[in-house]
Amino acid sequence: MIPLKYNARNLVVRWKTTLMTASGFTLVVAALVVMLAFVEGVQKVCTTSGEPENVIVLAKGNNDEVFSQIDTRLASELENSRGVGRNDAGVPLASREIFLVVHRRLEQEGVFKFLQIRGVQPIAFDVHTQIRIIDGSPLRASQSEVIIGKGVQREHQLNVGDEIEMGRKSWKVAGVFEAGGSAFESEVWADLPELSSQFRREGVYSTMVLRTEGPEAAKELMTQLESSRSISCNPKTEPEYYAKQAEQTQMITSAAWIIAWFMGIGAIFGVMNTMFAAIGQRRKDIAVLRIIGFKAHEILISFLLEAILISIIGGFLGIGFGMSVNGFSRSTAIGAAREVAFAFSVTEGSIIFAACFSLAMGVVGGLLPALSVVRIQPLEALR
Amino acid sequence: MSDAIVTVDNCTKTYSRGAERVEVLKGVSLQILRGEFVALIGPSGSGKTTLLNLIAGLDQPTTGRVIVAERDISRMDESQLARWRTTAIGFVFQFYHLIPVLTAYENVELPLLLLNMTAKRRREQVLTVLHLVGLQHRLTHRPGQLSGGEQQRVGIARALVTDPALVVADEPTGDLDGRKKEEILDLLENLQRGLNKTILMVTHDHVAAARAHRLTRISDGLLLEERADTKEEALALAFPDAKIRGND
Ligand SMILES: Nc1ncnc2c1ncn2[C@@H]1O[C@H](COP(=O)(O)OP(=O)(O)OP(=O)(O)O)[C@@H](O)[C@H]1O
Ligand SMILES: [Mg+2]
Repeated sequence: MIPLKYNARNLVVRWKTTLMTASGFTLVVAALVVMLAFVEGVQKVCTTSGEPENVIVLAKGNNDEVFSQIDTRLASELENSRGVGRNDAGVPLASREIFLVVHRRLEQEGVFKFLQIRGVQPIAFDVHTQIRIIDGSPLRASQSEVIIGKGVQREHQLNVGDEIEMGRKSWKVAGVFEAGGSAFESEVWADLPELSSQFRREGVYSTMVLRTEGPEAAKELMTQLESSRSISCNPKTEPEYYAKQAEQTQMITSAAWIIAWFMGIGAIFGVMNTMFAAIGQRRKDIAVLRIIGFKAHEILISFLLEAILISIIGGFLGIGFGMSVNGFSRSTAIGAAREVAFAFSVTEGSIIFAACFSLAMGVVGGLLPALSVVRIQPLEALR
Repeated sequence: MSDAIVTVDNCTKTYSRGAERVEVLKGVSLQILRGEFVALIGPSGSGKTTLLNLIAGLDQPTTGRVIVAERDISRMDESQLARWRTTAIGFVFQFYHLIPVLTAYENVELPLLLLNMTAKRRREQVLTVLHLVGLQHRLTHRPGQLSGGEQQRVGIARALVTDPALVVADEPTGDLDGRKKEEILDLLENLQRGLNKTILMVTHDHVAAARAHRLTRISDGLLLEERADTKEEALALAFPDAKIRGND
């Protein structure tokens, strides 16, 4: 076998070309890693959001809380459905909620951001058991208070004691909560009656969340509601509902894939061009190797490895750059008008995938030039 | 078993360029004995390189046979020839043709990578031949850091490293002059004398030709019988004006 140092040193000798060619791979691989980290991050939020015991009920024909409207009559019917749990005081574990999205201007940055607001009753904290106050105090009714998810705290730079304008009045941030990384962390929670009156939404709810004994019971309740003739609504288990929301990031993902493919084709042509040039410049080397006794296919492999080496260098840098987004928090729009805070999550799987993608590009780009080596006639090349 | 390392038996070589056919060798027969240092001389375009390539297994004769070290190489295919060349033939080129990115040591080691050999054995062998050509202190130099004469010595070391039956050299001093040329010729002569190497050298330089044991002249695709009893007479025939040049 022709020693790899032969290829490595040639790459070093023409290091500018090497770096330029490799940078194509870096770009593609970095983009891939970031994209996969984005998808992974959003998916993580959406799959951790929602407890399998909970059934979220929206109005018939609605798939998103923002547009859903449930009236009081339907709400009480749902509340009394078979399978809905009760707390120690015998109150049904049914949370009537309204969900609003407003724009809020961030003074410092001068930009508008979505603010998702959920109006809840005290029972909500028995239904959504993931909620934990991590700073300040719990929500009190009728006190013009809100509690905010830690995603909101970060994105909107709000803290306990700050005031937020919502509706026609100002609300005080009483506490900050976390919710196991779920979408709730991107929300502001306020007292339901107080919020309804501010936004003139009295007597109408967006959703109703029913807590059952367990995942099985939740599924049962869901089918029961679906098949019920007297109740007309759109029930889903919470995990299902949020998984559905994650699907909407598919658009972004597809677009990113298309871009990655095009950049990939660019990188392939780049390495092809570089390798054709390299082979042209090293015809004499090739001739001598052949004369000494190396076979055409051994030289082919050597040049293919050189292309792969470029893809490894580029891919390595790309993975490095891509990984730097790991843990970086952003928010993204999912669903109709909802912004969810998520953290880019670079997984082992996506690194392996990106590395393989880079290698594959190297092989594809290097193959044609390497095959051309076979056609070089040693005696002609030395003349 | 004959003492001939090389037997060229009535070989012809015809190149066809489109409709045009060029008969470069028109029936050549030649024997080279073990341990001989033969110079192949002749005018430019007479077919010297063509004949050398046939003997070295780089090309096939159109008709006729070439037997080297008891093997009929005119019957071998390219894949067989490639491996055969590694051990049977050492190549020395006019323009050295070293791999620029490899060191002197690595260039010489290259042919050994094709053989089943431990790293230790390889190292011994490479150092031995580099010592032989007097470059033991230039192991890590790249060709670009060596003079022409030194590069050619690396080239010779590379040709010797597999201990081939035959060393072929096409104008080995063609790119060198003066003392450098003499040094390379000394080296080739010593290889023949000290190690009993068989050398076939193509040259059109009378100084180089004078170092060989035997002169074989090719003209217009045919080997000429020199009708000379001694090498000196052959030289005088081959290079009629060499005497005058030799005197100044
Ligand atoms: N591959 C080829 N195709 C066609 N013609 C060729 C080929 N190789 C050599 N020739 C022709 O064969 C003839 C002999 O070539 P060769 O290289 O053997 O000459 P030479 O004696 O080595 O000359 P020089 O001293 O200039 O090196 C030349 O006329 C050359 O043009
Ligand atoms: Mg020639």
